[in-house]
Amino acid sequence: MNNVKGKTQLPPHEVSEEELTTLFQEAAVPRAEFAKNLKEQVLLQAQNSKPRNNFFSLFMTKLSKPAMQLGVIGAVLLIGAGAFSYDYLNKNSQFANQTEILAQIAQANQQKPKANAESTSLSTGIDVKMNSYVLALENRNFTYRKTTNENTLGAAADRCSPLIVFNREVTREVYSEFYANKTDPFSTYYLSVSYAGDTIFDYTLNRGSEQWQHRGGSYAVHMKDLQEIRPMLLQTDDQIQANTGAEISRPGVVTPFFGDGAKIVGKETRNGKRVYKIVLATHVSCSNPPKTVGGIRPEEEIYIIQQSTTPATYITYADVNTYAIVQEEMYIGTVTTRNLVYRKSTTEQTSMTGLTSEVEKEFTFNLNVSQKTVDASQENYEKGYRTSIVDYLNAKGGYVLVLSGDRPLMSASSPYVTYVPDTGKHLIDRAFYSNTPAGQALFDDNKDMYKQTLEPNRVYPFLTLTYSYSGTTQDKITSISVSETNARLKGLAALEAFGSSMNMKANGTATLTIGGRKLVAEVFESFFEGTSEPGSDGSSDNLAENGAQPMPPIKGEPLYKEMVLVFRNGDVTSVVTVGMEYSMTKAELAKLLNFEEVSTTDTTRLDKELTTALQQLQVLY
Amino acid sequence: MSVAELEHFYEANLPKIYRFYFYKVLNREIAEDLTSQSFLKFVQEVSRRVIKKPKAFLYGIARHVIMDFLRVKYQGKEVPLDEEDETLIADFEAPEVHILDYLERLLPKVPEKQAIVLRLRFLEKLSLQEIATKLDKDVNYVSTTQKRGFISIKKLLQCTDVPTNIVEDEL
Repeated sequence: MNNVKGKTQLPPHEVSEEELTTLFQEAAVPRAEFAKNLKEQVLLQAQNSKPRNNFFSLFMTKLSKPAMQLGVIGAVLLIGAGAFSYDYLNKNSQFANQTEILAQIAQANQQKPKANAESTSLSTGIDVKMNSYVLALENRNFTYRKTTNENTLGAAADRCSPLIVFNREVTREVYSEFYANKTDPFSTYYLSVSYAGDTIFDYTLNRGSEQWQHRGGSYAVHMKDLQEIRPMLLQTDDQIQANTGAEISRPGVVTPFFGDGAKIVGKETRNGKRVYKIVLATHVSCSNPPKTVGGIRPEEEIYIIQQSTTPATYITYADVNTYAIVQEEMYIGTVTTRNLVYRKSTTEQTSMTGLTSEVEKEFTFNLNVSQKTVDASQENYEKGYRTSIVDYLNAKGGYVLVLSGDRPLMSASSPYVTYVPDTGKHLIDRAFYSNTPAGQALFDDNKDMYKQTLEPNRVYPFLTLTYSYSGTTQDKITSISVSETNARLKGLAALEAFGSSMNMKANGTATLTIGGRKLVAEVFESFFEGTSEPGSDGSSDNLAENGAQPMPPIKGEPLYKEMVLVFRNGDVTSVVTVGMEYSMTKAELAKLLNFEEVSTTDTTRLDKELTTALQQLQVLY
Repeated sequence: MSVAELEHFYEANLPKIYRFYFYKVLNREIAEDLTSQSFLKFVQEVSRRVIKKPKAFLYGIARHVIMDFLRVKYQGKEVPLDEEDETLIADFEAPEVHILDYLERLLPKVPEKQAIVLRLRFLEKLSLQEIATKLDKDVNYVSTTQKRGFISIKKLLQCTDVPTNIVEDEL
């Protein structure tokens, strides 16, 4: 042995050619797990294929003529029928009730908390925005639960990024819930923390009417006197069945959760737990779906869903005793390491603890970061929005039309006005987010949340006021909406911009009074094709000039129609849309529509006018 | 082909197909991917038509798959192959294994100093002492570098251990 610097060294070891050969030979043998996974895929695909006659042909080619002459055909047919019905995946009788087991798994995991982030349904890959967590009323056997997800991106993550069910930056998510009483439907305390490596990415703590939020930035926000967050209560299917007697279809539970065709392919022991292995082979689209507009999916997204052509495999492992999902994986194409898109491993810890000091400590804000406190009870959304509109109009200049009389103003809105409530200011503050690309991405997602999306080539009114039915029995008007724009619009163009030009026909003009002046407006009235005027038997003996018909009668109910008036007052085009009883004429309407011009610099007057409206205005935050 | 026959067919031919790919690409993950593609294509075809010689057919698919892979990799030309060509079987049943050829293919991907030592050790068949003399280095340096080179080769082949926390139930 050599002694170098006082240490004893082993003699130099020559790696032999045998060792090298063994290395290659071992690598040239397929891994057991790979072999098993591929076998499952192959047999699943074979099982899902249509029945075919080539099986029979294969058997026939192996039979000799004498055997056939002896009538072995009959025996072969019987054997063939048996083989056709042979189902490898049902070989083990405990998977004969697959649907029931899958339903139990689906129900057990629908009651789990989810992050405040876009997630993806297992089956279709469609992004589903999860804004609140959902708890089902259940016979809870714990007062404390901690759920931890470990997220891993696979080698194929970049090939199908939109379908990753967690934020790519987030490596771990921890959700903790505490219920003061086992039977409380809502948690007393709730903590959600997600990490990007060792750094906090997203922190939310709820304690009754208080909430703390931190997104890795230079401060956290502590909100007090919030309306308590109450998740939607869902009943499990069993509860619905018990309460209503209605039978709940198990496939109706399974398919939305797992996808069409998911199967339990086996059981194994994983990390000391006995788990079911569930496989879904499907097709997905890895394209980024277009953003929804107003909550509605654009047509191109539906097209993308229909054109999903990328083969994908989802593998889910669920605890055989608790049905809790312990791991989820997604692969693009075949199930191999390089095709793994993501893996999410879940562990859960529950107990029947009371409110100990340890529990109290866990649900106490203790991050080493400064706090900004917002008292939600001091928030006055209506006043804030009203002030924003008044300020906007004041800066814009000119006049706005206000309806004279005591008809209540229900709402006032402008797409050019952005109001940020105190409880939301931090969400559009760059400093609230971490100084990382991920933090920038979060900020970019949120910075325009209070702005309205305006299409570039579209005309928008700078103000819309909506008045309601006055409540008197003589009032034949159900609503009046007044939209104003500086764009020069006439006729149908004005209707298309601010209302509906469908089923509208020109009905001459009407004279309005504005600020004591007379002004002529174009009039349009709604019509309905196909029937005669009200009260008739449906015969078409009263056709209008262009073939349009008045609204059809609805027996026993008052008849209504819509009239739209378009006029220009100075440099402003106004479009007034009125819902009214059918019998009302345009002349009657014109007498009722008395407008007053209010200067936008008269902020006190404007503020007073809008106050009533905005008490009923619903502002979305 | 019945499901039972398919299962048997798969188990009998998986090692050969996988080994075929492995020695072509010298990468476990890629070999697994190509193996998967081959078997799934096979199942797809078997469901659509009669296959008289399934083994030869499978091996034909395997050759098509590797040619496709290499074509994409090297942007080469199409090479027509006959399906169900029984002469293909010989390539899969008892392939010649040229370890040193494979090593030589991997050496460009290994850190230079390790590659030098591995080349001298296995391709030129020098002893550690001879290598040390040639490189004017200490024998221990050569030994350590050789071992590191061996580890690099192992990583390139992506020889992963079978997970010990998964125990299958007997079905």
